[in-house]
Amino acid sequence: MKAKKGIVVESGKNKAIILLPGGEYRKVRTGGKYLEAGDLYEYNNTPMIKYAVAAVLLLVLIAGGIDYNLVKAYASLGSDLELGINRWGRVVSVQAKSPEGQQILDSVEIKNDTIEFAVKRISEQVKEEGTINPQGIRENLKVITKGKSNLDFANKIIKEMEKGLEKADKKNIKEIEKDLRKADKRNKNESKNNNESGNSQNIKEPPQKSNSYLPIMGKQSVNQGGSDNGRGKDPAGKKIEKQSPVNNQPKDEQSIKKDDPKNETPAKINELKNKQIIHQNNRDKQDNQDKDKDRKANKD
Amino acid sequence: MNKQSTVDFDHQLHQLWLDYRNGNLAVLEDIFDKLMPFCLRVCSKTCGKYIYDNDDEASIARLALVEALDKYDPDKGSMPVFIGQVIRNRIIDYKRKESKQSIISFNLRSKGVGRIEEEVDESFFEEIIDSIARKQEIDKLKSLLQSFDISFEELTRLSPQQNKTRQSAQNIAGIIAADEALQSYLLRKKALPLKELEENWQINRKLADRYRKYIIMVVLIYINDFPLLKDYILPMKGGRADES
Repeated sequence: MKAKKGIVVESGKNKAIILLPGGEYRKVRTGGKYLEAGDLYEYNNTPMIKYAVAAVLLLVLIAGGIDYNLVKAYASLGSDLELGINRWGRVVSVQAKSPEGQQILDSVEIKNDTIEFAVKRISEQVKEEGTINPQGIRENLKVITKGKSNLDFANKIIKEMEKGLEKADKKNIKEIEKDLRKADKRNKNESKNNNESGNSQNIKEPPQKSNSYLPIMGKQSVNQGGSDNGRGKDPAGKKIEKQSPVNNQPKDEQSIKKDDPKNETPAKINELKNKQIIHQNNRDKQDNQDKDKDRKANKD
Repeated sequence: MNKQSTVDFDHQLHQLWLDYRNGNLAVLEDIFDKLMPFCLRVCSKTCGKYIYDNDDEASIARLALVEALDKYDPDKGSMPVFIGQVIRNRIIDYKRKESKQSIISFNLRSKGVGRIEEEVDESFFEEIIDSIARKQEIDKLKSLLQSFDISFEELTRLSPQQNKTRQSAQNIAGIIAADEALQSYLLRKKALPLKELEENWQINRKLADRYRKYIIMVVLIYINDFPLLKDYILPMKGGRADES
């Protein structure tokens, strides 16, 4: 807006009354400028409210920025990490107190995250890297607040941190369960494979003899994925049918083992071996019984 | 700038100067009476502060005025401009001298002298003459308003803020100024003839009563013929003030 030229009708030390074109009287601040009645004064009619609003907004932004980055409490995760938390429970500063802690901080970006999420991320990273004892973090959760009246805030932060740890644990448990399920599946397949390979080694009788244990093998084949009776007539065909899932299985198994060697624990392997031995013994017994039956039938 | 006031002032001064030049020293008193407000205002504008009649700067201005009257030549241009220039130069000389003697404070030396030595043109002195003319009108209006117990301070608070309302108030003032009966009622009773305005002119009584002080001020400017102030209280063209 253009400035209006008004007449000074009265002047004081820092103020003057001016008569503007149109008959409007205004009291203005002269800012120490020397003015006398009768002088012309250039009056800028830009509403002060605009400047005021802009100034307030700027002030709020600056104050907000400063306030956001102001650390209200420090959260210690064990003896390796310290997080600065603002009044909104967000991480605004991170500090490592050991090289291991620095290693963790280098691999996770937790600034501006909520304390709950930050603790969860750190906990996950700690378990993944294994350089810091996760139990040490859990047992040494500390919150140091500035001022005496921040006890509630400290409690709140502690709760949030515990929540974060719980979430990380849950995630970890789920992963372990998943791994166990996979391992179980593998073990089952392995045992089946072993059984089938054991059977194939035992079948050395001529094709006529094999007819006697067809019903038993029929049951097995149903359990292992099914086979038709027509193929059962051909011993070679029977072998292929039984081995096909087994032949495929070890390949998968090997690939999984290569991919994830940690999944196999020695205890489990022993258990599996025991199972296989028991299974093998049962199978041998059954075969012997079958042979006896065949012999009896032949004698008859 | 009001050219008319400058020309009139110039003409009157020229007549007085001719008398002085012809040896009539008695006219010097008239010249002082006429020129001293101008001289003091030149001093004030040069120094950036109000100069009273008994200040050092006022004495320097008086001496400079006599010097200017002696040295003036009509070929040098307008007489008030010439006088103003001489006074201004003498004041600057005085300030320089003062700063060398370290009489004035460091603050004045650093800011004041440098600023007052800025060159000025004719318009600087013409503006001073105009502002003196405006001041005379303002002083007269102020004394008239005092008789109605109105001050400029009050007018800033009681004036209509909206353009439309201000125009309505100015129209009411125009009706009173144009009607002798209403005018005489106002001057005699020192109050607005609200009843007459309401009955004969269908004026909103509430509005007239609310802005009565502003209306009185406008009526006084109309009926006393303040040419310089009148321009400022005329209703605005197209609802907007003339922006300069």
